[in-house]
Amino acid sequence: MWSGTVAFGLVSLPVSLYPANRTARTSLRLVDADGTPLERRYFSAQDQRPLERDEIVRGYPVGDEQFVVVEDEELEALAPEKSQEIDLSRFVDVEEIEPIYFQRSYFLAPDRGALKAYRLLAKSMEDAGRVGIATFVMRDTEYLVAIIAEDGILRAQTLRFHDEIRTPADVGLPERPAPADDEVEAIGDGIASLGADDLDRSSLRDRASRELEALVETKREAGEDVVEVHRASEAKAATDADEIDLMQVLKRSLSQGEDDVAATAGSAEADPDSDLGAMTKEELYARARALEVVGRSRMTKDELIDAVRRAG
Amino acid sequence: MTPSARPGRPEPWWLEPGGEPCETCLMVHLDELLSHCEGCDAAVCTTCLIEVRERSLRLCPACAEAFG
Repeated sequence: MWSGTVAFGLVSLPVSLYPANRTARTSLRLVDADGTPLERRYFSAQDQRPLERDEIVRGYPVGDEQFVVVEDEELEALAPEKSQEIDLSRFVDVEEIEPIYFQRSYFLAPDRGALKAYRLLAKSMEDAGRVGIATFVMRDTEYLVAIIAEDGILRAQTLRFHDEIRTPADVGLPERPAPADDEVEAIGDGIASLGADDLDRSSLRDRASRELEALVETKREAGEDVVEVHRASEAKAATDADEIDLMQVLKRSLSQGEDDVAATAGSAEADPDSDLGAMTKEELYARARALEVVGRSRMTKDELIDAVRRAG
Repeated sequence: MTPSARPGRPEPWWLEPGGEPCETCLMVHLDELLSHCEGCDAAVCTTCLIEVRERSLRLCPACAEAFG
């Protein structure tokens, strides 16, 4: 979804970003009583009709019933300069960043030939207990990011800007009266009695979603409340082959890097085309976008492979 | 009063103003109402979200167009 470089001094490390979390919540779809999937549309109350996308513009409210229209081209002109670099210019202690700042997590995977430098940077940062702070541009938006090394893996954690953080006073929390010492001690004893050395990961599972899926499966097997989707083209099931297993991608990238090191040591030339061929169309498109390949949105998978190969 | 509100009842939480922007329409929503595009991870609201049912993908309009 993003490819670029992590820069630190004279080191430039080519990497790709992959989301470290993806919702496992059960997704439902709104359908009518006959099983026809419903869609959301913007509706003009004045004209009493749904609007097409090209009839909609963005407006910034400047008063009651008044908006300043902002066009797409104006937004594009205001977008930050496209940059494919995360410049690590500051390092702080990991405990300096309060959890309230954390937003989205991404794994940083080393691109071809970058494993050695990746391993070196990850170990150095991990040993020092330091986190790199930088800004970078993704999807025409500038993000504040912390680069964290953990178990030999670099993770990019997007951060909220400081002016997004609310204080207790902002949400109307009252002044804190000093609690009595004996009450603190009693509560502390209660907390200690419930203490555990490790956090049981199974307690972090999304139980409600799994129960909902079990309910759906029970009803499906019983043929209860099952409605057929009308449009044949929408009835095709997704294939597992199209799903992107993020950890597999990361592992592949890391093992690919090891292969690179071995290949370099043995003067063997790896075939980059075979790696591109193993990528999904989504991965190829992300790579093409990072390389700013023109016309990528209309390309087939084979055309994307060819364009990425030429642009890279 | 919003259409879904009932006299004497508090406003439903999902109609409260949020602070997280959809990266397509740039309207702000509650974080709980936003999804993340499975192509580029952009935050996308329920109105802008496009479901490509053949591939079980939930995408922002830009990625949906790219994937045809």
